[in-house]
Amino acid sequence: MTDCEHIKTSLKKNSEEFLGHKFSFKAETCDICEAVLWDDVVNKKFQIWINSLYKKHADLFVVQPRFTKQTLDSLDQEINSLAFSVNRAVVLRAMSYVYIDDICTLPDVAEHAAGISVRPAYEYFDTGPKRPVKVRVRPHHYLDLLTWSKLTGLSPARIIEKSTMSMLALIKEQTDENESYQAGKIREMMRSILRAA
Amino acid sequence: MSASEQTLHDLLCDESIPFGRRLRFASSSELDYWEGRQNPPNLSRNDFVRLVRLVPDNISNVKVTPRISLSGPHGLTGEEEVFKFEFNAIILGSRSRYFLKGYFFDKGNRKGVAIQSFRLIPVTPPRSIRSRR
Repeated sequence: MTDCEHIKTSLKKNSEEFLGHKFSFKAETCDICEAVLWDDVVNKKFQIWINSLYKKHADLFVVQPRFTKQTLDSLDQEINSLAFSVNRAVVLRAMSYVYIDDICTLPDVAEHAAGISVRPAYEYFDTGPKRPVKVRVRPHHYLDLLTWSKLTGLSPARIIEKSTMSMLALIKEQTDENESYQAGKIREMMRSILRAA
Repeated sequence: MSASEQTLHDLLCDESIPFGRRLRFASSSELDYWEGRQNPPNLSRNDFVRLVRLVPDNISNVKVTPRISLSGPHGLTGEEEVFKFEFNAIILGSRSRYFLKGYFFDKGNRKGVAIQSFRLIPVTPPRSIRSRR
């Protein structure tokens, strides 16, 4: 398998489809492999475009994860323990951020977190009838979800479900077994991101 | 050259800082990204921006080769050598391996990175057993 070095290029009109809408732009394009140069100029145009799409069609950026009663109860308990008021949708967004970007990359927690979905604490949150919760996500977070979705084969809603249940299960394990899985650290990360939100 | 540029250049050339971290600094400063290649399929710029956070700090298998292409906004001013390496990342329990190839720019005043190729390495399926055919 060869990786083209894009030796011969020309300026061409390109377009990319996103949530049923088309983003058009001009960019240098490789004549051999058809790769398109997405530099900071194109990226800035895309950010402006996607933010205006969000303003016009915010409904496109809604995902609907499904949760059991015990998951929502635990989530509300965590929200109530915060020193400031914040709504559920913001917490759900923050949970997927913290779980994927921080928890899963912490050397001392990542390995433990990777096996959480087969342990009783996770099963506790995953078992029983589920009901949908509407979460409107910002464009930047939606792009995150699309990347994780592409790479894991899970839907954006399922990613929010898994992240939330994994985070709550890690916290629950700490309470149940008094093990050092850093529930304090997880809560601290959550608080800092929620304060910023 | 302003003082801030000098600092960034020093940071990106500092061998005592792990390569993975310097790559993250460079990509958050200025990024040229080639995407949309069909064969072999390339991941998008958005994917790269999110996955570069999962590149390990210390990468032991970085290979350096002379650069051939002079295309792109930093093709003429970029460094003459291309780096390439592979790394593993686990996302929500799903493990994947990635290939990354690019070069820093500008030569003598590092301030960003151009990524020529970023793709998933396909997992080789286990060899089938003859009796199962």
